[in-house]
Amino acid sequence: MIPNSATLLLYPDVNMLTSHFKSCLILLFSEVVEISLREKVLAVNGVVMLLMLLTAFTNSWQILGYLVGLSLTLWLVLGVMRENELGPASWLGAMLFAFWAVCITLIFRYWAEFRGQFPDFTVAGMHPGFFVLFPVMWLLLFIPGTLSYALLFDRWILSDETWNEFKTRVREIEGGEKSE
Amino acid sequence: MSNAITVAVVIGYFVLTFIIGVYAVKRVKTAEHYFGAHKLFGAIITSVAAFASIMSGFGFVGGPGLVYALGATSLWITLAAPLGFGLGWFIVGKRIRLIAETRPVATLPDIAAARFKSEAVRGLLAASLVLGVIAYLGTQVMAGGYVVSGLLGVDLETAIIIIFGITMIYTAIAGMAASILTDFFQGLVMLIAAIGVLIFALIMTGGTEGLFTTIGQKDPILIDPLGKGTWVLVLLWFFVFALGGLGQPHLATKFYALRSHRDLKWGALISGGSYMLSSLLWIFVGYAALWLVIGGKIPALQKPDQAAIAFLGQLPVWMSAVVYAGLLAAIMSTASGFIAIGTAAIVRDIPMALGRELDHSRQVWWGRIVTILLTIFAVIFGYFGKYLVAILGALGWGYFASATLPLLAIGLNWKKATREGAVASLITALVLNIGFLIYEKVLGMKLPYAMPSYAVSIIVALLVMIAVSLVTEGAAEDDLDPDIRAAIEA
Repeated sequence: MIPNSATLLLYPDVNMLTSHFKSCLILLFSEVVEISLREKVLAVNGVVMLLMLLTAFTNSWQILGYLVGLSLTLWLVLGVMRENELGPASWLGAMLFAFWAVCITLIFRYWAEFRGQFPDFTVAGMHPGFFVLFPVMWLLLFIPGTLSYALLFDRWILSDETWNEFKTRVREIEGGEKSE
Repeated sequence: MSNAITVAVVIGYFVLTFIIGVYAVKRVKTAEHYFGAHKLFGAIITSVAAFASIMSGFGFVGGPGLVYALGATSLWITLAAPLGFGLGWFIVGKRIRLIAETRPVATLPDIAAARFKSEAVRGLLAASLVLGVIAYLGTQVMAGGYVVSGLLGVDLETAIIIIFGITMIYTAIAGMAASILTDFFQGLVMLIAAIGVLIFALIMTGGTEGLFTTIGQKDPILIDPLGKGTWVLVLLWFFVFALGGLGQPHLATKFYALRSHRDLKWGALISGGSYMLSSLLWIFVGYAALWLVIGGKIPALQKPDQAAIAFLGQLPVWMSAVVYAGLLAAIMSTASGFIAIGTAAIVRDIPMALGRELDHSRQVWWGRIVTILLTIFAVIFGYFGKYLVAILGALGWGYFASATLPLLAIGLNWKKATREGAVASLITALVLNIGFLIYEKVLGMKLPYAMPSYAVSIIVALLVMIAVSLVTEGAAEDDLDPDIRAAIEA
């Protein structure tokens, strides 16, 4: 490729032009791909919430049902993960979404099957869809959503090591400010 | 309704609450203690208090009323909340507590101002809180007044003075410390009431078999998982009540009240578990009232909100007295928290946002004066406001959630969240909530498929926060204060 006069004026050396072009590409590329894991989760969640609005306004409630579970899962993942490290967020999120998906599928199914009539079978007197909602889904979501906090606290959420690191970092900051 | 046992239980409850509230003043040594109970309490007290402040009088009266009218529709609200407590602890609990370790935070606007390095964010959030607090308190005035009037056999005005006078005095004396300590006691009363109600409801109706079979044979829709609502409504309810709880200021304030970071550990479990127990009252009182009406044991109710009162009429007097104490506890615990939050916003945050911070020693003094004035204003507004109270009351929960959720959930978890994003989301929340209020209450229009408007406000405010942050730079990344950055990265 022969550079035109304007390019030659700015970049007298073609090699220099190529080198600058490469560095620009690297810079641009790194800007594009260096999205933190948290940002990816947040970005996907933003799209999911947008889709939730669209499905709600179009009464596509079956899709909305799964999107709600997916968004809540992503919020949980965002809360559990550390800076660029998923840790237990991956399996905890998977567990929450799996519980949600199974329960909401059964609730939709039993609701459609027995709508407007007394169900053919009950569980402790309850409509099977109602029973999946309460107590099954109620108790299942509590496990990854809430109980897990206490179980993971010392190992992941806020271990003594993390706490001490944080305190040390803050002391260093305060020390630095005082010396300034 | 008033009899010797009920009067004795209710008066005993009032006296104990008052003593506990006033006792809390012993803990108050600084302005941060008064406005935010900064690092004053352990896990059990703050966690039970968190549940008590979230479970308002609506859970005791409005919730069962909705079950009576619509079947399982409203269960999607109360069944979502226990997950919401976990999300609250996961998403914002740790970060707020870490920030409390490095700064004397006492209010949510303190946190927001620290994160976004902006007095405008502080001021906007504080103004939002004051508006929401007055709207919420206004709705509680008549509700609390009618309950006490019926229980003690006094006129409505006297009843309002009793319930809000007691709440006002202890909140004025010890601020948020009194609110949290009394919330703890009130939470225990609610739990006793909920467990008692569950047992009595199941015995009375012959267990879940007798309860649901009787109702289902009369109207099967009342026992199916949707009830008389729409799927769009219940699914969005589940979403906003699971997520929106962590944007409620009366929950978020509990995190910087924790004495130690280790007190976070059991908090979600205690709060969520307590709420789960108390939500049984919502479910079983509503269905038991339906069972009573369908079985011909009581006449059909004129209004759904009478469901709880109708059911309590079937209980032994001492048990109904305990449940009424629980109802008062639910109203007072939420009210005291809101009074303390509103007071802090007026005395501490709005002057700070205007660059006129009050001297710390005078902040508590002014706090007491403003607590009294704010309560009196809310009572007058609630008593005389009528239609305006109903309109503003509709703002309440959804407004808090849409205003604070983006700032906390996104701001404390994403270093690229910007000041401009925070301001834009706050303005969006305000505009959308007021817009929907006019659309629904003044113009009488409705969103399609019974879609709750606050769900739209919350989601749009979150999306605006993300979108604006992507194209702006203020108070993000390298511009963050080092301790805030460390808290986000921990």
